[in-house]
Amino acid sequence: MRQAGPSEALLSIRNLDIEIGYGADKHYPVQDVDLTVPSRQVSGLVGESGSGKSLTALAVVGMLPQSARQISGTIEFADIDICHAEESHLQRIRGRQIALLFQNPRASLHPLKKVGSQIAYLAMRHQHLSRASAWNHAIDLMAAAGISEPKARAGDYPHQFSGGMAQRAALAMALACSPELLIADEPTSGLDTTLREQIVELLATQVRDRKMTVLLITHDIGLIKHHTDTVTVLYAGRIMEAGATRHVLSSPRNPYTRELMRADQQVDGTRMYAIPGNVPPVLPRWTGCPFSSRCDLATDVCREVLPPLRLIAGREVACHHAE
Amino acid sequence: MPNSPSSDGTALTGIDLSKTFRLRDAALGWRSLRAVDGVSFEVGWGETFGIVGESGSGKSTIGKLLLKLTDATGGNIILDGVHIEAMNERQFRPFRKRIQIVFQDPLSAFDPRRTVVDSVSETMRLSSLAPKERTKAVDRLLDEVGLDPALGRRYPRQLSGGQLQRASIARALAPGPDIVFLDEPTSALDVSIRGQVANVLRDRQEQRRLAYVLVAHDWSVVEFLADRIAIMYLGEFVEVGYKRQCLGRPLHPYTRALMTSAGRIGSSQPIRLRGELAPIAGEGCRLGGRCPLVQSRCSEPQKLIEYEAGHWARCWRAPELGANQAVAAPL
Repeated sequence: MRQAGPSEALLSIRNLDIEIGYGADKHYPVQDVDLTVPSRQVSGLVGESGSGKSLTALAVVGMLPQSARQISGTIEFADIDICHAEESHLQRIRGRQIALLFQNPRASLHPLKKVGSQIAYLAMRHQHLSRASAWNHAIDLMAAAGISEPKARAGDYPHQFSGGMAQRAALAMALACSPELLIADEPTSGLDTTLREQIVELLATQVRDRKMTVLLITHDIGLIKHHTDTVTVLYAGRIMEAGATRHVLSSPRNPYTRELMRADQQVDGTRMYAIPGNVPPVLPRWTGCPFSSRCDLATDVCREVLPPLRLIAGREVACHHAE
Repeated sequence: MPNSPSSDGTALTGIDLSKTFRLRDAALGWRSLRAVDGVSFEVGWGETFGIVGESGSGKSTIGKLLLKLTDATGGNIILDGVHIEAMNERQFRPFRKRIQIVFQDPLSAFDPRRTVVDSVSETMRLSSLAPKERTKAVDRLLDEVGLDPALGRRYPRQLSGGQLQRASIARALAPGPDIVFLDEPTSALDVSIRGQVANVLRDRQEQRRLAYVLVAHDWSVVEFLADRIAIMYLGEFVEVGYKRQCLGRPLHPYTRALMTSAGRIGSSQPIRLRGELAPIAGEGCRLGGRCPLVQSRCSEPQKLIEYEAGHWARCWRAPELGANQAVAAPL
């Protein structure tokens, strides 16, 4: 993915470092993360809880929680330096150029406003449409997001929407200004299995039709496998492996990627496969490989020296023993 | 009624269980919701009965009924030969220790202001053990579920999800139950450690001959733990059978649809449902409006029928679907 060349990258994150807390409580949920999202592709960011994937996404739109600080790194989106942009500038970018879709759609819908007006508001705010044309625009978007009888539903409130319909409404809202980049953070995790596929299919069609770029954040390897072009695997705040999805998942070179895929699939009758140990709940500034305490292949060098990202078999791998 | 294979009686039997909630709707009228509607099952000693379904299907309500956290509207619950459905709280109290529960989210299932050991030993307070003995017993339990007893001295927030879920298993086992209701025991856990908890559950079951009622939507976990499976939709079982039967040759379109979306079915016979789970009027098949195979006969009431030994389905087109073997073989 790094080969894509700077001209084609819509979003490019370099050496992102985020810290949380003060003094002895200080920890580092995102460490030295590089991420390139090529234009008009679907890029995946996969990791378990606490891997730093959501914080990375929030940093892109300048919406880190107050307790978190970005201490170094650069984020460039379409030649805009996000890290040094004014808040007013960021406000114009959010929703119009970069849209977000979250796991819990109800959290992104205002409970006291009609769903249609919330979608229309974006078009009025960013595209300066009149009230009436914004409302019609909202209805069109809801139809495109697969909501039946959009005219009637636009006048409903979020609590009248079921989980699946609310996620469709949230998607309609994300699409309202035809953003260049859509960041979807676990867009299907809260949904039932039979709905997940519907939403992912819908997302895929809309992305294709509108020629959008997508950053898909998930813990679900199945989703990554079927719907992304490139993937970045995060563990405990650091990148373990990154490259074209078909390369990375067909022959993972980092032991963590391998183990994660094994845990996702393998049941051998009497034992269910699990990676031994736990994800550390609080992340120190790593001085060795973060996975070394759980890795079969770990040696002294893994515990003492931070493995750099190396180019191996067409993708980048952070492992001393990868080849 | 779908029967269990055990020869020496059953640990738990539900007969025609129903639960209807009365809800007040926005217009201040009353409507009733049949959360569980005529469900029957048996669970043998040492057996795991898995219940699979989407949210709103009534799985968790079954758990509440079994633990008598809410009273059934109709039907019987027989715990080791004793009818418990009509008991009041006082009568049921001696049975509480025999049926326990493990919740989905361990963090919300523990008191944040008590150490894990305190919470676990709470369930043993009514036992005859002296405090010192009790502490020892708790440490033994923590050890059994693979949790370092030193970690037990910490508060829930200080443990990871996997560690805390082990602690909730220890707590469920503390009173020495016969039956444990597992309500999505691994859903809140990361993939990499899901197996740790599943393995602990399996080991404890083998050692203590526990009967499990497992509610889950994750097929890997169901496949790993369950002996028999029921697939539930809008309060009814639509398919019941041995794991091999339900996963290998699913008879109901809904089962097939769930497996399709989980990527567990061959590309030759995928079933994709329209829309989402919503209550319907009428006496016909409750999946009717969403099912791609729907025909006029589906508007007649559908019965749960045994199509092969131990394998039941609530769909008249089941034989046709069952004849189609194009399914990824499980296990």
